[in-house]
Amino acid sequence: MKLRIQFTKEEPVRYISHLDLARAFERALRRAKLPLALSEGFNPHIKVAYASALSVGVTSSSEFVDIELRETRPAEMALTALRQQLPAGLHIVAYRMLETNPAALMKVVNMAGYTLDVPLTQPAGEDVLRAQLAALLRAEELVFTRTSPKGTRTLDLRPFIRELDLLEAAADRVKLALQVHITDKGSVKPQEVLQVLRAQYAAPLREDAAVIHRNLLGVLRHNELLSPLDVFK
Amino acid sequence: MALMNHEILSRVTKPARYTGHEWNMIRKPHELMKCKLVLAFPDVYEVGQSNLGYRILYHILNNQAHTVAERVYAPWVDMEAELRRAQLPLTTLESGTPLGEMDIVGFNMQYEMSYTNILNMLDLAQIPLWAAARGEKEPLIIAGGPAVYNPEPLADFVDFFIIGEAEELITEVADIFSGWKDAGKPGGRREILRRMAALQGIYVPAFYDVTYHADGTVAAVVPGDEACPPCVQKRIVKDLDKVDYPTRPIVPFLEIVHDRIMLEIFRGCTRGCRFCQAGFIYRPVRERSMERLQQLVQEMLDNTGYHEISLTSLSSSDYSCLRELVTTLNETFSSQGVSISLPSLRIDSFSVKLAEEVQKVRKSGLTFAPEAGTQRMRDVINKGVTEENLADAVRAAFAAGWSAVKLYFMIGLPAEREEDVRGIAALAYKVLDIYTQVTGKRNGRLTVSVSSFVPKPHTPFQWVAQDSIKQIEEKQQLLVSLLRDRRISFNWHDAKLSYLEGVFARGDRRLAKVLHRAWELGCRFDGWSEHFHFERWQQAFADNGLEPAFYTERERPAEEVFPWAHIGCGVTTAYLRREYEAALTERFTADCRRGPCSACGVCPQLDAGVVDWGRQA
Ligand code: SF4
Repeated sequence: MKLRIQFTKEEPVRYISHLDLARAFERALRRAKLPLALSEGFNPHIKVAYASALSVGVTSSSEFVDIELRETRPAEMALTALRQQLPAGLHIVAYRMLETNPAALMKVVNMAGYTLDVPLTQPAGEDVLRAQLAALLRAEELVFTRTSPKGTRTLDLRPFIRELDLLEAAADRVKLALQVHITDKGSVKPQEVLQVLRAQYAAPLREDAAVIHRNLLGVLRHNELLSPLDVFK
Repeated sequence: MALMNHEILSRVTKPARYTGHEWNMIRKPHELMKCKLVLAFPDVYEVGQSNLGYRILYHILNNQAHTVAERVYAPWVDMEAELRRAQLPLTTLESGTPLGEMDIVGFNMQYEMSYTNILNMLDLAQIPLWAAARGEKEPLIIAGGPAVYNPEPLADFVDFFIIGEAEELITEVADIFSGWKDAGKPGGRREILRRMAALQGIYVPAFYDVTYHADGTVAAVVPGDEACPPCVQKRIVKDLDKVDYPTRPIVPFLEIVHDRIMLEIFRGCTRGCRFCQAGFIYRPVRERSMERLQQLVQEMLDNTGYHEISLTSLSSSDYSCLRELVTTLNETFSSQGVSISLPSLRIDSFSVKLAEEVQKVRKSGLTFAPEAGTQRMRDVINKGVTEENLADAVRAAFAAGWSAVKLYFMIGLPAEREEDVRGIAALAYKVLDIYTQVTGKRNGRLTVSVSSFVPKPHTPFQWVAQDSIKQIEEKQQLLVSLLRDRRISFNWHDAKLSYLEGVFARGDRRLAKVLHRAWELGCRFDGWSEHFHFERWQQAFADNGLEPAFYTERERPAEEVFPWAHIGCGVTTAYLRREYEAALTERFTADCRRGPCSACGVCPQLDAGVVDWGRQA
């Protein structure tokens, strides 16, 4: 049997990496003494799969994980045990019990939503900011050079950006809402969108100090947005 | 969390080093606490969080009703720059309290080359570095750990030292502090230090006067206060089964150096390797019982969710019931996917058999420590291992499927000759030949790791001259030329770093000024090669008119008073001297663990005894 769980990553664990989070989850599962399914081989590992990695420094109210158990358990009992063992800041908000083998979370989740609270380097009028966002969205192409430990790569970010909105503008900071597509060709990080906004559209943003929160991981099907918990219906 | 912090944390590497909230972290309300203590570790989180001693103390102190212990680690250089720029004080992980607002700040003297980090952390905490400059409002600065057996280089910075095992002593310290604070701190700082000095194992350096001869050697160390003993003997725990063990260790988010359950199976080692300080300062041998260990394992698995257990000690193969323990643990826990690791294995086929049993996957390789390349040299250091033992052990390892072996050696040992250095290479090739004999293949892989010997206090080699940097580098170059083989990866230690380690290992109080100057010149994280600046240290010595060679390259006469003469680990100087003479005549001294007592002095002096279940049977 499989459990699909929606959980949060809150302030106390904001700065842990995806790998750290996966380790913390595994240890919580072991402490909860759930009958975890193990892979074959000399070095057996538990069968746990996440929807999408979250960056260091980003919180979320909508993360998903599939956990495979080797024996059926009343889901509510398993969840109660797990809840007691999760570190502060990791909180289970919803779950489904899956009897059949569903498509992997990584395969089905194809969009993410964020709120970005960004300090400004200098005051900017709301109208000006709105115009800058609109200009970015009008662009046919957003050329961006991504640097990773493996090297640099130039790519077009525009296809990954679904929506970008201004939620609030204050004298010294601005709050944005961003929705992005996650495709088999990759996606875009919120920080990268801010970087483009600043560098190519002159928005006075301090993206290095942005407070970023993921509020949505979803499945977009024929223009309908589904929760990963509901995709089987 | 303050926005400022988010900005800082977004900029530094591995921000989770500074944010706490790990599983099993303990938070206690400060307003109900009488003694608020900090366990400060002068290295990064991943190193400090792995320290077993601190895991134990965190657990024991927080189990006290009116005491709280919180952690702090050395901020990495990027975080240090942020704190300094924002003028933020160093704070504890648990509650974010500045160190200066706590009652006692304790440092772990894990390693001589982390001393600059101690100074740096005090400075980042905005606490005066010199003990004499601290007033009634400042916390007491204390220190303990393996290097405390020569505390003198830190004597001017630290209010008191904890000599020996702190499990019992630390709660006495907290109680005495609480009583003094409750009573309105009568007599101020001086009085609390006097009360502490009355406890066995506490050393208050300000109460001891050091005088020097004209040549710079110590004339005498005398207590200037009647509360103080002429020699501070270490504290030990007589029965390990009776003390608390951290069954709820913190489970970090970050991957740390020892990211697993650490089960200490026994303390002490009396094999008597003459270079090894641990073999003298942790005497006598005291084992935990099988029953206790099994119970601890279950609790720790339940409380952590770890699935790897490391059976730790100075020499795991020596645990009297090791085979039984490993078999039982395997039977009980392997179905839960739990694995066992056995560090510090002896060189024999018994140990290889055990490793075979616990290590189902042979990928991580096996490590052996012959320590020296020739039999004569191994006799000098009392390493009771022959070439045949090593050959048997590696043969068994290769036959069992390991293709990678790591060998540990030392150079710069007393009475070392060129042929002893060459012997290291000869032994390495012999091991590769055995691989080819056993497997018929020529793809064996061998790591040869060679460190430089640093003479340590309270060992039979405390009198010897340490090799100069030039001597060590010549020996390293010789090995580089001898070990040119694609199957061998050879690594060695920075000779300059070992040299400085040697200075502080056997240094005196006058080095405080050097340490302070080096820190002013920017020295910190000296043990991390990318941050080690030897020229700054040279300048620090020159600025203070001191010569490092005085501390290292000088054979001390038998009658010299050591800077640590007033600190006792229970082993008598007469015994150490006898062992030194035995070394020079290449005589073997047997292990007292299951054999006759060799009269090192520990048991009578500390009113303790060997606890070994094999001995009593
Ligand atoms: S006093 Fe004797 S038995 Fe005790 S540790 Fe020393 S040599 Fe061993």
